Amino acid sequence: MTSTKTASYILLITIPCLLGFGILSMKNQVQGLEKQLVSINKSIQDDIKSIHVLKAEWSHLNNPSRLRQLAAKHISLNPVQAEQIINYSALPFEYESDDSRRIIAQKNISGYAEQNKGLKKLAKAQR
Amino acid sequence: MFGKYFSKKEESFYLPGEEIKIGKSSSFMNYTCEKDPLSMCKNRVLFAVLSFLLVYAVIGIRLFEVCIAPNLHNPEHSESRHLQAYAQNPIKRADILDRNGTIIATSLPTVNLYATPKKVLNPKKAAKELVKVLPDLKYESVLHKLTSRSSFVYLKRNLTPSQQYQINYLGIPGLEFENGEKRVYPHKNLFAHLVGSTNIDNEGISGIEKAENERLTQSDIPLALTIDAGVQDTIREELAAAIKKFDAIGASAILMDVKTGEVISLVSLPDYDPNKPVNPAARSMFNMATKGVYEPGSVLKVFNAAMSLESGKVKVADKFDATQPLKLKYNVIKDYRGENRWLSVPEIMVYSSNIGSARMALKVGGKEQKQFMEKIGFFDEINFEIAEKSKTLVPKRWGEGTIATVAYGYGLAVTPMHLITAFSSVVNGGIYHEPTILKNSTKKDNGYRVISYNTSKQMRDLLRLVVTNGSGKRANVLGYEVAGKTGTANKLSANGKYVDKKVRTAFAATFPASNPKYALMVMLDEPKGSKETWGFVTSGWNTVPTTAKIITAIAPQLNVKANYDLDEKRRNRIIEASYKR
Repeated sequence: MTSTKTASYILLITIPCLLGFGILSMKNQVQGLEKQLVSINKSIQDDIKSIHVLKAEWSHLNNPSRLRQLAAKHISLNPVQAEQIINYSALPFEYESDDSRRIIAQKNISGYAEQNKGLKKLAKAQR
Repeated sequence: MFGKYFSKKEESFYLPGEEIKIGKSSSFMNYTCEKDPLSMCKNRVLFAVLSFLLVYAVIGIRLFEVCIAPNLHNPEHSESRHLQAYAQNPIKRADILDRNGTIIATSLPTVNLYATPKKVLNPKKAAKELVKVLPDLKYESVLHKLTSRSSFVYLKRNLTPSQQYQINYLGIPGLEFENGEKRVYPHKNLFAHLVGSTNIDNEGISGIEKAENERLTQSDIPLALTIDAGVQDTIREELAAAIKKFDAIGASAILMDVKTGEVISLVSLPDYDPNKPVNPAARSMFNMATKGVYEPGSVLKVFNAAMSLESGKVKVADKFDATQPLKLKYNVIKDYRGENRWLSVPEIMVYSSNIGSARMALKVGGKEQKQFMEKIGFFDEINFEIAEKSKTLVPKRWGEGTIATVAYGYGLAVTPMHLITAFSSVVNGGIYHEPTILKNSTKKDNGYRVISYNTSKQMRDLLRLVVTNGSGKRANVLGYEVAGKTGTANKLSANGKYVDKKVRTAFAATFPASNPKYALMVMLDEPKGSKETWGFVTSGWNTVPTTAKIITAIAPQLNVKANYDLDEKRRNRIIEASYKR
């Protein structure tokens, strides 16, 4: 046999063998990855289910009457009345570092002072 | 064997030396110099090789397409997505959320236990062990199911995970689990009438579950409502306290955003727990706010005044004769604790005069009254997204007596939902919005005008007068500028006569009056007089203080700013405190 013939025979046998091994190992890898994918998907499903159940439990714990009972037990505060809420600009404070606020506060004092003599004295003393 | 079926050529007989004739049928005809057997063989081999090459080429191209081409052309391809990790929610029915994202209704994944009776080896032993694990099943019914002829029978639905584990541990063949969903309402009674409940097959049977059943089963995007859970709970607590205090048999309240028609809260007491099995005939299943039709009583005077002012036939300063009871053909109209003098329109509202309202309506005329009532939606069913709705009761003939009685709220029966929607349209500048409970509804764009802007402004002033000077005095919450109208309607007894002591009281309020944001309608069914109310059962003694408590509690929650002047003493104290620092 000539050398080219032997070379071609050797090549003809080894290349398919190598290719075969390569394909088999790739197939194994892909199978392993697919198994991982399936197990990841399953754990995602389980997590989704438990998140859903936890959301429902969170909503159950947020039941307003339950919160009201807990608040009455642990926090010694009362519901806010309308008289306790006031606009900031209605307060006649003069400690403002911000110029615009001081003008507003001064306006408030001078505005109220028109109605109330006692406040006029305070405004004068302060000036 | 089959030789005789093939026709054979006649063998020609050749004499020795005779010329052999070559005809067309000669088998040597096809042989030419180019097509000898060897080249034909080569051609066939070449053909075979080419076809194999073609197959390999197709495989190669397909390989290229699958592996390399998707990543070249576009980053996402449907096939490559198929191989990624996907997150699919096994829950089929969508959640229902409130406007802040709190979960009102949700489905939990459970398992249903079913049996294939053919596969069960020892039904008696299986039934005995099952009854031990699931104590609410009866031995006889389980045994009957396991020995039946069918191939599929449900034993128990919606098992807990621990029960599932225990049944698996028993190791009985023929029992299997199926994935199911169980609808759960974490807030129990709070949204009972709104959200409704579902039956065992997860089909809605009342409320939003029924009305939006398709939407809930088609997509698993949660359905957002305009309801606020905190406000709903506050209102429900106050209503329950009011029922206890005034010994009423029922109450309902609706809170609506006047600018868009969104319902912030809807409570109807008595209510039920949708997690438990419901009895459809029970009184607690009846949604008084949307399904009950009632004669509104004096609340309708709001719409009477709006109609009169809008028609131009009545001005605010007009006076009407309320000195004597008004005698009509079939009935006599009297005032409750009347003033017995001539009343102007504001005084008619403040003193809630039946005679004055009737005279106003008679001046405007029946045709306009009927048109107005139709315009503000009193003749049709309200287009609201829950399943329990009612048609209104309107009089068929609109004679003089009807005009007069409708003016002060009898003879026409509407639901509280109708009343508050119409009331919102009167106070918000005159645009009527259909009520809605879905957050992304497009209904708010489809409003139509019912009264002019100026009439609405006048009505707001009149309603504010009722609260500052009239029967709504106890609702004058400091800082929130409440405006509204009370109404006390006698109830009809079974034989068609009005019973004097049984009333249904209502109060329709809006706040703040100068720029209304919300409208609240509270209704109490059969409140009783007590020592505190001096025995009176009119609306100003029971519904109005309840409304005051509700507004005090919810206005900060709804971010309505309190607006009032500091009184002098407090002001001085604050100034002193600031200068002492």
